[in-house]
Order: sequence, then C-alpha cells, then structure tokens
Amino acid sequence: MAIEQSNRGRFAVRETTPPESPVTAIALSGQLDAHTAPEFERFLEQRVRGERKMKLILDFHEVEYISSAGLGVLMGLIEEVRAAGGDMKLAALPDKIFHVLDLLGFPMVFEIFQTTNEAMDAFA
Amino acid sequence: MRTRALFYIVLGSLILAALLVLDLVAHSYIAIAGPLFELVRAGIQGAAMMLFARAAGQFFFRSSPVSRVDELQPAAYWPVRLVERFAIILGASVLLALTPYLFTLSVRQVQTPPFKIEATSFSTVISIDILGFIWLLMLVGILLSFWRLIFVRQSSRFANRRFMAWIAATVALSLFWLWKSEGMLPPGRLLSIIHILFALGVGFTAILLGYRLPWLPHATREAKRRLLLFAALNTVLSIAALLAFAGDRMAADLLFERYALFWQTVAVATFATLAIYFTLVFISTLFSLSSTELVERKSAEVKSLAKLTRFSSDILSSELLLDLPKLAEQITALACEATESDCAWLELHSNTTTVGATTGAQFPPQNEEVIRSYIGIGEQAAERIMEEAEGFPEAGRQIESPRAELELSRKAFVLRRRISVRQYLFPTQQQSVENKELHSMVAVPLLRKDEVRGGLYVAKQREDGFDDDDLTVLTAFSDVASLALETARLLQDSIEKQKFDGELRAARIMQKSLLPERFPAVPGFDIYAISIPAYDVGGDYYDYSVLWDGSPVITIGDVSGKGISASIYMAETKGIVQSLAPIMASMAELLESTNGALLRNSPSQTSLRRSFVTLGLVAFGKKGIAYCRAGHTPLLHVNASGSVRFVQPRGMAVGLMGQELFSQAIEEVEIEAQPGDVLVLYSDGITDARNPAGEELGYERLGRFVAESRELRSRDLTLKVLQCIAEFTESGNFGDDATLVVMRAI
Repeated sequence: MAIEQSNRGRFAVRETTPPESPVTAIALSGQLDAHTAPEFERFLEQRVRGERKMKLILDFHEVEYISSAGLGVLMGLIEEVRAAGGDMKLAALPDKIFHVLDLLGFPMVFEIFQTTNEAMDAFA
Repeated sequence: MRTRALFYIVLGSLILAALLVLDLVAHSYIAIAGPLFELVRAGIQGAAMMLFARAAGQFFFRSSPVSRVDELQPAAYWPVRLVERFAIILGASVLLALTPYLFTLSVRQVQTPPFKIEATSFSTVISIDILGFIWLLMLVGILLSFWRLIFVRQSSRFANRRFMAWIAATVALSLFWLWKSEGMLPPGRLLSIIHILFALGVGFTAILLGYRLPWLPHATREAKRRLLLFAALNTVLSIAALLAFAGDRMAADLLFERYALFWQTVAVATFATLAIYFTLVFISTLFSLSSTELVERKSAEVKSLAKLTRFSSDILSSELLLDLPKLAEQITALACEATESDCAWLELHSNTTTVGATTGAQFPPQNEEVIRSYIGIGEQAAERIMEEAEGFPEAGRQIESPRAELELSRKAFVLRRRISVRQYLFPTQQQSVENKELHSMVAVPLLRKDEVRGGLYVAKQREDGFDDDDLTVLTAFSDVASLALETARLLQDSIEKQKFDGELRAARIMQKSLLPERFPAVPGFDIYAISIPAYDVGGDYYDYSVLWDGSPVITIGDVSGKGISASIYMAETKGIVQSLAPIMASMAELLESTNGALLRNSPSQTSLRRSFVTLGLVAFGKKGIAYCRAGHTPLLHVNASGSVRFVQPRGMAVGLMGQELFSQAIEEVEIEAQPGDVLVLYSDGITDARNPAGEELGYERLGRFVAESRELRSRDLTLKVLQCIAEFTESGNFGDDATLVVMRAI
C-alpha cells in the first residue's frame, strides 16, 4: 500500500506529437493538483506563448486525479488559444475525471474525445 | 565661567597696575634696587601671571572630559594643531621683541651692576610697564601651551616629573642670574662654570621633555608633513626670540630686564628649551615618516574594530533587526569599509521551518531563503569567484571552490594573489572601474551552531591586500554578524507567524459569522447544516436567502482551492448571491447574474489565479421545490422508503465562462418531496473523503449512510452521517473542506 501511495501522484507531462503533425499532443499522468498544477501551467504556457502552438490535444489517459487548480490551468489558456484561431481538445478521459469535468460543465467548453487519434481527426 | 575668567584678568591687571605705581615711585625718584626687591617684583608678577593663566585656562584650554569614537580623528591631529599654534605665539613674541623700537624712551644706562637702564620720565616708565605687561601675557601663553604639549598622551606622572625638573632648572638658572645681575656675587671663573652648569641643566631637562613624543606615531602622513614644516618654523622662531630677548644690544632684552629680570631669564630659558624641543620634534618626525603607513594601518584597524564593536551593540537594539536584507547590506558595507576593500559580498542561507501540512498550507513560506548582498561587485562575478575560485589559478590548485572550502573548513581563509575578473566586476557601477582586477580576497564563514550558513567575502585589487590581522578582525566581526542575522531571521519568522496567527484567528471568527447560525423556518422542512474547513478557514459555505417572489433558497457553495484565498473568494460569492437574490425571479437568473458579477471581479487572467465556484441551490417555491446546479455535486434525494437517487441537472461552475455559454448550461429541475423524504446538499469534500486504503467515499456510500438514518431529525441525521464518514475514513480527517446541508420534509 505504501508503494502504491508513493507511485501514485507522481505527476508527469510530456509531448507525444507525431512527426510532421501540425497538432501538438500532450500526455498527462498522475495527480494534477495544487502542487503539480504550476508545472503543468509552465509546460502549457511554453507551448502556447513560447512556441505559438495553438492546436493542442491533452491526453488524460493516465491521469488519476484532477483538482480545481488543474482545471484552472485549462480555463486560463483556452480563451487565449481560441483567440489565436486554435483549440485545445481533451482526450481519453477516465470516467472519474470525466465526471468531475462534467459536473463543472466542462463539456460545454471543451471538445472531449475518446482517444487522441479521434481528436487529431477533429483538427484535420 | 566667563565672569570668573574676567575676574582673574582684572585682578591680575590690578596687581600689575599696583606694580606700575611702585615703579613710578621707585625708579624715577628713589632708585631702590637689589635682589630682594627684584624677588618681590618677580613674586608679584608671578602672581599676576598665575591669574592670567587661570583665565586663559578658562578660555582656551577647556577640553571635554569625554571623547567619542567620531572624535578620534581630530584627537590624533590635536598635538599637531598645538604645534601649529606655537608658530603663532612664537611669531608674536618675535614681533613683540621689536615693539620697543616704536616708542621714544628716555632712558640712561646705569654703569654699575646690575647695569640696568633707568627711565628718566614718567611716560617711559608707563610705556615700559605696559610693554612688560604684554610680554608677561605672552610668556603665560607660551608656558601654558608648552605645558599642554608636554602632557599630550603622556602618563601625567612621568610628564609631571620631567616638567618639574625643567621648571626647577629654569628657576634655579633665573635666580642665579638675578643674583648675579644684581651684583651680589663676585665675578669669577667658578661663577661662569656654575652659570654654564645651570644652563646645561635647563638644556638637559629640555632634551628630556622632547625626547619622548608619544603622540607623534599617531599622526598621519599628512599631519607629519605639517609637523615637519611647523617644527622647523618653530625652531627658527624660538631662536629668533631667544636672540631678541637675550641679545645684549637688543631693546627687548634691556627693557624686559628692567621690568622683570627674573621672568626675562625664564623667558630666555623657555625659548632655548623650545628651540631644543622643536628641533627634536623635527628630527623625530623625520625619522618616523617611514613607519607612518604601519601606524596608519594600525589606527585604521583600531578604528574599524571600534566601529564594528559599536555596530554589534547597536544592532541588537535597532530597527535593523527587523529588516533582514538591509541588515545584510549593512554588514557587507561595514566589512568592506573596515577592511578597506574594493568589494564585498555576503551570502546567507536560512531555511524557514515548515509548519502545518504540506498540501495547500499557506504558512510559512517553505522554501529555503537565500539572502545576498553585493557591494562593488556584480552577482555573476561573485558567484564565479565563490564557485570556481575563478581568477585564482594558484589558489585553484588547493581550493577548488571558496564556497565549498568554507563549508568544509568552517574557517576563514585568505587568497593572496592573482584574480582577474575583468568584465564581471562592477557591472552596474561606473565605467571607470570596470576593468579592474581583484588580486586578493578573504572569505569568512557565517556560522549558526557550528553549521556553515553562508559566507562573507571581501576582495581587493591589490596583491597581498590582506594580512592575518584582517582575518582576525573579520572573523570576530562575522561572529557578531552571524548572530545578528540569525536573530533578525528568527525575529522576522516569529513576527510573521504571530501576525499570521492573529489574522487567521480573526478570519476564522469572521468566516464562522458568515454562516447562518440557524435557518429560518421553511414551512414543511426541518433543516440542519454543518461546514468543516480543512484548515483554519475554508472555501465551502452554505447560506439562506429569499428570492423576489419570497421563496426561501438554501445555497451551498464550494470555491476552488483551499485556505485563505478560497475563504476570501467565498465571502465575495456569498455577498453577491445574498444581495442579488431578492431582486431575482428564479435561481437560474440568480446564478447567471452571480456568474457575471464574479467574472467582472476576477482579478487576473493568469490561469492559476482563475478560481471558480460551484453553487447548488434549492428553492422552496410556491409551486414546489427545485434544484439548480452551477457545477456543484448532484442533489441527494432519499425518499421515505429508503430509495436513493442523485439529481443532476445540467450546469456549469460560476466564474468559468461568459454569460452566453453559462446561461445555456444552467437548468432547474423540480423535486417531488413527500414527508419523510430527505434532501442532502454536500460538497465534494464529503464524497472525496478517503479511507486509509485510498478508496473514496463516493456517492453510493453517502446515499446509504443517509438512507440508513433517514428517520432521524435533520440535526441527528447530519451528525450520524458524519460519524459514519469518520468510521469510514478511520481518521475523521477529510483533507478538504466538507459541508453537509440536510433538509428533511415533515
């Protein structure tokens, strides 16, 4: 159990964009809470403000938990991305994560897909 | 003080005036002469001089018994100033020796011993007495000044002894001369030998007086240059005065001999002594010039030590202790100044203790805090030197990194030669020094309980700019500095903590007062609510308000985030809902307006600051009960038979999106509630509560707990459910704000 605890919550974010793709794919894993949200925010801001990548897919497949701080990161950048003609789509949400987002009304704001590939197609 | 001095002067003048009367009688009409008469004269004149001396003492030689550190510099110059003053008084003496030529004196030379002149008119007697009066004043001035000079920085016992010896020799010589001049002693070889012996006695005691000049080493180079000049000038002036008063053909000699034979000899002996004395000063100064630098350094060290010591006692009671960065800056500046270095810098690590849980705890700031201060050097350059000993190729072989060396050895060390930090130095300062190089430096550890917390560094452009004394001084200083810095840090911590605790208490009380103590009666319902913040203050709340048509509304709210920022946002939300409700026709309208208001007040677009609120509203309208949800958890509805359902209308959290999208998302759902039915509003802190296995409580368990206790009154039901949850989590700890509102239809 202790081992499980220590493995849990290790938040990671990495880019999984296929070569030559105009769309940036990002895979998240672990717990996205008040402590890890700043790291996530820096990562996203670097893509959006630094590299001017406006077509983004966030893959939640391995995310175990998302707190309001993590959601705040998404909300903070979506308007900016859309204003620049891009979009941020969410993919592969585990049921629990989807439920949280659904309660808050996120499906009204974000396009949500079963898989990253489906989201890729939606961009095309 | 002044009146007393004036009194002395008047008294002295009266005595001399009486002497004038005596002179008028004696010398013009009845020529009384003889050693006894001269001795009486000398005594009377001596008494007058004594009074003048006391007056002068009141006027010119009053010095404060207290001297301060700031006055050390002038104090070192003081003897030099006395020597300079001597030039004036000696110059005046020489000029005075010439004044008799300005008067037409009718005198005749007496051809028998004592070979004195005799005035032949009243006016001449008066002129002679007035000149004599001035001369006596001058002699007083000279003797007093000399006396002062002898005692500077001397043990008064030894100085006294030497001065007394000189006075004895001088008095002896003068008395001898008086007797001889009055023709009391038969001339002869023996007499000449005795005369010479007395003169040698004065000369010898004069050498004794000038032999030791304890104040000379303290003079700076500049002061010594002046000393050389003035000592030479004074020697010349003393010899000139000596010739003017002792030369047999000089009017001054003749007149003064006539007026005060005894004191004239004293004056001559004094001028001779001064000539010897100043010659010695001149020679000593000349020879001590080479050692000046050493002395200057030592005196600078003493001064810096004094400064550092004063500083250490000062800061323990000063406001500096309340301002850590400023204190560090001050310490750096002092170290730089005290060692006369070209640059100095300081680095201090202080990790503040961690209080409270790690998740979301607001106080205190957790991270290690590093305090840095730089003077005359840029951060980059200092960093390079500390990390790599850059520019110390020789030292580099022994010391890889000064910073690491400090931590390892915990002792101060000197690097004596060769650094070059060309372009890094003085990056922000004036261009002229930009290309200077550092050639030596000292590093001193700042310790806290034997643990190295940082270092104090000073560096010079000169090679071998520091010696072991600097090391000692800086080490002593760093002890004090460490203590001061540590004290300041602790003080800062405790003040902040205290302030924070106080504010937290106030916030807790305030927030508690934001929640209604008791709900107004809603017809047909028994309502109870409880809110448990995870920390001192929370982001959950519940409230009661009334819509436009008079229907009561129960609100539950959950602000994203925890702690103080959440509690502030919560208070804001509550205020908005509370004030908007009475002018709103429906819950949906109320939520839309709240969304608009919160979006307008939203502080910044930075994503992390982007907070949102979930609100759940239950309205008890005339047509029935309805639930409206702005992102909040579904309403739990347990009916009298124990069946459980969750009501989840569409909705969106408040503060996320603009009005259009929000309005589309909001939906009101009607609830059919029969007596015995239980409606429960709760925050996600309840359903997210975990047991030690990491399992969440979830909807199902919550529904079961409520269903099992559905027949209890709302208050008991609430407590029972909380108890069940506590059993489930095994700790009673929610980890998040937890709120329950239980509404039971009766």
